[in-house]
Amino acid sequence: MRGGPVPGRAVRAPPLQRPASGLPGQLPAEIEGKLLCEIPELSDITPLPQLETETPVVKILHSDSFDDALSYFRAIVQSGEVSMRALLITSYAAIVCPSHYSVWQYRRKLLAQLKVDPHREIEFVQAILLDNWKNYQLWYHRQQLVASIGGRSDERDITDSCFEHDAKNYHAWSHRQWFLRTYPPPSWLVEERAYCDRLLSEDVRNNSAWNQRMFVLLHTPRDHPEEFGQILTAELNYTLEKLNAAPSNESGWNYLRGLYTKFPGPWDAGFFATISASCDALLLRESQSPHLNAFMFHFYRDWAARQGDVSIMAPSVTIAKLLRDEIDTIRAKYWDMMHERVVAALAAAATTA
Amino acid sequence: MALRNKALPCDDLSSTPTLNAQRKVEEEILSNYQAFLQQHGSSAEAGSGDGAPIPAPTFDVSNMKAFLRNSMFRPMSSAFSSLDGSRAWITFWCTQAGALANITNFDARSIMDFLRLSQHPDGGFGGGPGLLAHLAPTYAAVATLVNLNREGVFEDDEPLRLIDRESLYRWLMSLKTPEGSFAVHHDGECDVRGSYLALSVAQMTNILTPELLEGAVDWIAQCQTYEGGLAGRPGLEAHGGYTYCGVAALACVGAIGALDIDALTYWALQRQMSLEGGFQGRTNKLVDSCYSFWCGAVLALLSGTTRSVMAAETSASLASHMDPILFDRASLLDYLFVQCYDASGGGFKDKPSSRLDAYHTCYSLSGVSVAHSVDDLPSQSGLERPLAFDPVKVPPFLQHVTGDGAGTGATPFKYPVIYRGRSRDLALLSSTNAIFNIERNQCRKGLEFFRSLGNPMM
Repeated sequence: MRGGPVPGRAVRAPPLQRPASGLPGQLPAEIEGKLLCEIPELSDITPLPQLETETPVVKILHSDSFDDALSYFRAIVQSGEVSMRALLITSYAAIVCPSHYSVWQYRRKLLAQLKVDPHREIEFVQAILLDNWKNYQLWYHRQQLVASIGGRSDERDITDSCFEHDAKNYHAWSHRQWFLRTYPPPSWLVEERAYCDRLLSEDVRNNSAWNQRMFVLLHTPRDHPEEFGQILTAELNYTLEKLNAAPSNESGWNYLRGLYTKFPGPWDAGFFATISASCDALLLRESQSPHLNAFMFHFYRDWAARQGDVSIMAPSVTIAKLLRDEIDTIRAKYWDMMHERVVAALAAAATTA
Repeated sequence: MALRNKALPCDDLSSTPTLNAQRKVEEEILSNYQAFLQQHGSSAEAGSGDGAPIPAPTFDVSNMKAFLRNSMFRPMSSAFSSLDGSRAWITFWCTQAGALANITNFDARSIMDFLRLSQHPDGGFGGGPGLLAHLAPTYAAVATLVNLNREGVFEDDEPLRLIDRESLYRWLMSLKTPEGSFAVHHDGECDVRGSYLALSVAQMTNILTPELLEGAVDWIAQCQTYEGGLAGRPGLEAHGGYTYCGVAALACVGAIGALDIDALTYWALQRQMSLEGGFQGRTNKLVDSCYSFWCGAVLALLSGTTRSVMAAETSASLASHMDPILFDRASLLDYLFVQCYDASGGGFKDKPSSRLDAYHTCYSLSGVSVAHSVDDLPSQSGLERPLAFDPVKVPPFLQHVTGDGAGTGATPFKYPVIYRGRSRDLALLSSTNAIFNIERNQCRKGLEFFRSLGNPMM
């Protein structure tokens, strides 16, 4: 770089003349389609090529526009330039390589120092996100921007659009939970449960939606046990209904087990009766279902531990053998181990009794 | 799986995105297994669990060396530009796959030089030269250097000495957050990957301190969900990759007991698909060969605890005769060798319909390793044992005792493959240390080397 880098001091370059209406990252009309090396306002920057070892290792033959953008990016990072044109360079780099964590990190530094309106940056990142839903950097960038405006952007909207394409997108669920936890909109608990219900009516095996339902429950206030007990009971009935319609759906069984393991309370006795009655009824038509039987095995064992009464797990002995020998043989070692553990617990209890 | 056990294809005929995708994969996999049996003149019927003998699959690594070498030394097309921030990962995937398949005669010096150039002056490694330091390439670089540090290639542990441990430590400390998690880079996202990458690198290079560890164990434990597996952050969905990170992070500081072990064990076992034989990463998602390692290693890391729980609750005799690796090893290997190995390309695929790549080759072979080697890990039954910061000796819980199962009373596990036309056992492969995912002997050498230097932060 002409003049050489100034260590430890940010260099302010003259601002690039850009149309006022342009987004921070949007490329102004007159440079659209141009490489950075063709833009006169950048002519004083000497692009820095990628440093490589003598024998290049995992070398990528990038396109010209990629090399162009990243070479200018390396140059401004080295000089520490803070300017609108530096921001433009990061726009180029972010567009050719949205997964480049260094680019986004430097860009955030620029946005803060140049006091760029975060709303406009949100629009920029949204445009890239639409083609890159599975990208840690973009979602994190968006999170920082939303935080910088105090959460005044309902992030349920963007994640809704993502779930239209991929209802199990991990990044989007993470973003949504962060938003709901940090900036809870009024009545979000009710709305979110309804949203999960909508997703589950489209695909009852969407485990992410079940998990989100649990997220809602975990954030539901428990200071009025009676009210909370009613909510839990409604959840229990909802889950049993879904399982009745799709007994081989592991998500539902896991959720059911979660309902009573995560939230012990005065409703326990009623839960035990309801769950065992439903399972017994289901067993009449689904006696060979590995999911149902595996659930029942754990259910009796969990309940024995909860009640401090080992005899409750007696039915688990036969269930473990059925799973081990016939209906879940891929997990035979596990069922064999659990069978031995239950038999030993029952024997020990019989001796002390 | 379908070759050995009674397969349980999805029996729900309704149409949802999850079911439609699952049915498509099941059809393809079942027909591949059936074709495999027919080619070998077997009378067994795939998916019947009829107990007929299963022929040995072919595992010919002749083309693997070229595949791995080309992945590192032949320039990639611009289609791979998105990997520009992950180049150090590629060196790890290739050298770890190579170390396990006993393919080690790469140009190790050039790889070392590349990683040296990717080390950041303020500590840690970037994904390539000149990039900001990031925990993922830092782990990848350290693990690669430990794998490369072979006698006869380097003198005086040159690859390990290039790691600047003091700046690495300061950088790791600067990534710590008040909640006990680690950001993957300055001003970057925090999730349980960060915890694993930071703690495993610190433990390997012997710069772990109580300050670095403070709050980390509790935060990881909060990531365990109602399903039993771990999520990337508290509240999210249990996921095989994040579960591995959390469990291995705890294992590397002797604290697996912070988790609900029974729930974790069952969740990880449930990820093995009864028809496919391989693992899925989340409930109701599709099989993928990389979870052979992510989920398989979790179960391998639990083996010592599994055995000690069995001994405590039943009898020492039952405990010593059980196979403490609870997943179906043969079925996982069937999935990897029959469905995912591409002998002409020399690598592994995610599913039979995908294309091979270095990532899946690395994690499939690492999965083969946790499935075939008898691992006897010391038990980590609880937090009552003080967390070990032994700056001089390698803590015993980091060491894997390898053997053929002799002495434990368990039946030795054999899985024959046809290698260059001859029937061989998988012992032809090297084994991985499931905590670090570094070839076991190289891993031990690395741990011992950094202990010989002492812990500069204590």
